[in-house]
Amino acid sequence: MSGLPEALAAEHAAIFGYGVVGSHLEKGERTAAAQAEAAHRARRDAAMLRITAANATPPPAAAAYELPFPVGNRDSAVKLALALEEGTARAWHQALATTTGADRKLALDALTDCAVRATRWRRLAGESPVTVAFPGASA
Amino acid sequence: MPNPHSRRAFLRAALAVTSVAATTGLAGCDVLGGTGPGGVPPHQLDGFLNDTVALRDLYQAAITAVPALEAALAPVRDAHGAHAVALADALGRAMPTGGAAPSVATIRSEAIAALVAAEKAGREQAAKACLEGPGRLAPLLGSITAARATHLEVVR
Repeated sequence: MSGLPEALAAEHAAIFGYGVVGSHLEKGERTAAAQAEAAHRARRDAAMLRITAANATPPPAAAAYELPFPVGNRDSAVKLALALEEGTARAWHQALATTTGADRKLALDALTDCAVRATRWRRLAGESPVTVAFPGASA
Repeated sequence: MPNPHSRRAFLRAALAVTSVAATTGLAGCDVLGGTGPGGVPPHQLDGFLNDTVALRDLYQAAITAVPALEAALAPVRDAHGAHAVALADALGRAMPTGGAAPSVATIRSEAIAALVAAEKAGREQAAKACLEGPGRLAPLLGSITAARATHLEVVR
């Protein structure tokens, strides 16, 4: 079970963050952000189910989250989206060490999807290279 | 009346998970000496290490065959190399020397198709190793799985 509550907390934060990201993006990018937010909601729900099934109490979302930097335009919104994916990737990566079976599968699928979305946000941010060697690993 | 600030959490804090959980999760969990319950036998991960080196070499061969691909493919080649080094280290093995340079078509689309097929197979192989291997290696194998998925965003 250890690792899933932390990943759930990160998903709560990411869902809040995407609520901020979306309004600053250009049209095509807004679709990507909406799809990313939906994916994070699905992973949040899956994590809550697994935690509840283990008779533990899932950590609730905070009422609001302080952004790591001001977001007021398209570029800073893309940067935040990338930070959200890298943050959730780190949380799921950590959950891999302490989970087995279906929980580890959830963590692996979530890490992989976060890494793929991070790659796409890096491309939209104009970063190069757009990939990192060890997604989710702390630098 | 509660202070509204006490209800605010820091996004950065929620997303910044420390490495403590990962390191404590590793203690006493070394099943590399045997197959362990549900574990991948060490020789299977040796094969995975060899295949990772082969992926690195396939990218190098593709760059040699189609030099215009170097800018796009060099970071991916280097990632596979870094994966092999980290795996060898985690397994306590020497870094494999690799075999003869694989043959890659000099036609760009064919070279890319070969890389995509190898990368997809490698991603599946890494996912299986992550899910069936010891928890000690799951973060590394998970990172490798995710990295291979991201390579498919680049190689096309």
